[in-house]
Amino acid sequence: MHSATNLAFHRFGEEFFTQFPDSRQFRYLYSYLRDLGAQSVLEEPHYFDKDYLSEFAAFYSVSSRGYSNACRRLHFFAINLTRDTFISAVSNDTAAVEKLEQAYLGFTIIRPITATPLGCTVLRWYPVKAQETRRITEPCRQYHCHVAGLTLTVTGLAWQQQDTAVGACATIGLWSMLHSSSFDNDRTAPTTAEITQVANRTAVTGSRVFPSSGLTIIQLLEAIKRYRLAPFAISGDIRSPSPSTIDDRVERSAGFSKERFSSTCASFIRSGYPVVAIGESVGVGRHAVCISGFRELFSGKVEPSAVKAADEAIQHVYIHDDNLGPNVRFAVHTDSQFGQVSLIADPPTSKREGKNPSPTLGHPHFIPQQLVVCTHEELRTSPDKLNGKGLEIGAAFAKEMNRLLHLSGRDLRGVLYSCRFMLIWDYLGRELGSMFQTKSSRILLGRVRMELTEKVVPMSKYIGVVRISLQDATPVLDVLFDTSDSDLNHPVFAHLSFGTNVCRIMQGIDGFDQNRFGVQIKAFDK
Amino acid sequence: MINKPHSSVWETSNECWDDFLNDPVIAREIDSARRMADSERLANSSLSVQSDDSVDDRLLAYETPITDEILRQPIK
Repeated sequence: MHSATNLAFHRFGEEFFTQFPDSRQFRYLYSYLRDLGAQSVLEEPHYFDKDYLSEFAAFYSVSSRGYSNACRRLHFFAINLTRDTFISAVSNDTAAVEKLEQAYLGFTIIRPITATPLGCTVLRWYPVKAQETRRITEPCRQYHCHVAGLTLTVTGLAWQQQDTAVGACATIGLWSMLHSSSFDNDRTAPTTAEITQVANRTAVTGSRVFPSSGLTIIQLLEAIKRYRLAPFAISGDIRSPSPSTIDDRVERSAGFSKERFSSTCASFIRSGYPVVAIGESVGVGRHAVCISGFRELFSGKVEPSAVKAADEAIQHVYIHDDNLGPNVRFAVHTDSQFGQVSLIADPPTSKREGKNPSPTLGHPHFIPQQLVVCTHEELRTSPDKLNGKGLEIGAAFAKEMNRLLHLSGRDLRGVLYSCRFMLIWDYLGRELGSMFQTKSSRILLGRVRMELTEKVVPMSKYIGVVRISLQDATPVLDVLFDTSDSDLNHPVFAHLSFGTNVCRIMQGIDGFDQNRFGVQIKAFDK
Repeated sequence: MINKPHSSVWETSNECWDDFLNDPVIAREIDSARRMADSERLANSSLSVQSDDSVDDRLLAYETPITDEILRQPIK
């Protein structure tokens, strides 16, 4: 039986962490929180965690070990939190409440499982230092924790350690993915035990469900469908040379080219969907991680007449790896055997040396070979098709633009392409609103929004946006695709030309007269 | 307008877009170039302009299929 116990207040430090198993995950957690400036820990000694209760019901409750059904929940603060300060806050002392809210760094659940205790964990991101290269973390969302009537909020994406009883790495990756901001308003995220059960329901492998020995990609895809979501499985475009032995007959993808990996991940993450990357953890074996964000980087020089993916220059992605922790920074390299993308844990320089170097150093390199993503059912267009269209349209635009520039005796120019999925009201609202945010652009903004509403056929809930830009990221063209139809039909609703010269160039592109780009919206002052 | 590079194609504001979009001089040149191309049947002049010849191969990358064998490989 559980008994009433006081909340506990601890000083954050190495000593506090000695009570936990010495694992890479705990070392990472300690190091991450230390760098965030953690000073104290508030402990709820009895916390009934939805995920653990589900694991308990599915597995631990019938173990002879006598596991408890309660967890501990630890909250971390960047102030020296005392019991008195906390009591002031729960007594509605506004100053104390604000102090706690501002200092809140996140929480972790400690399960009563000896070897792998780290349950649901959400931590605040490091502050953004390099403003010129934004961190894109659209899949993150707010988590609200309630302690004694006080609500503490942290923005992030849930992570947990795999326990290998009810969930393996792929299960954890999918679990994090289903926590994403995209699904926040639609449903409650399933637990790891539920995911493993669902994955084994329709895509059977003959293996027992619990303890879980891992999932196949088919099982991941089936699990996604069972939650009435749409799965996409994407295979790397770089192949290893033909297998020569019978044992090596199973065709293996060597991995992804930088352009395809970066464009695909960026398209999804910008759209709020995390990406589960499956591949080879070098020297260890097949592994799955969840990519929750990336660091945007200016694409750099575009050669005259070239067509370049706007996100090809990405140098860092942020990964939830159940072997490490949440928000781990990995560098994107292409110096592998076949030039495929390889992800290498890459802590900032300041965390590479000194007394406590980052525990991510020396972690095995990871070569992504397949990507799995789940999106809303209404979204039927594959990201490959949309990115392919982006490259195709970018090439057609660059060709015609440069033909005319050449005839005019001007220097040739290159272009960038980028794609993402957006809710139609988000595009009309937030996206166009930020492009035309000046007071002098209000009339233009209003006209563009009205024309998109009244001159274009009713658009789907989600649209695929292909953006073609000049080297300095000035947009020239947005092409809006219907995502509710099949890839073969791939209809275009409309395109926005952002300048009179863009309209002139568009006239010379094949298919312009046959409505290849849908209704033309002149998004500039006429 | 101020021509200032942006960090992202998704974070731009029209107050600092490239003059190229609406430059009347370029507009006249484009009109003139098109008329010249049409009247002198120089439509094929594009052939002499350098273009990105890597596009076809890169488009193929976006059509990579996923095989049944890959789908059935276990992930531990």
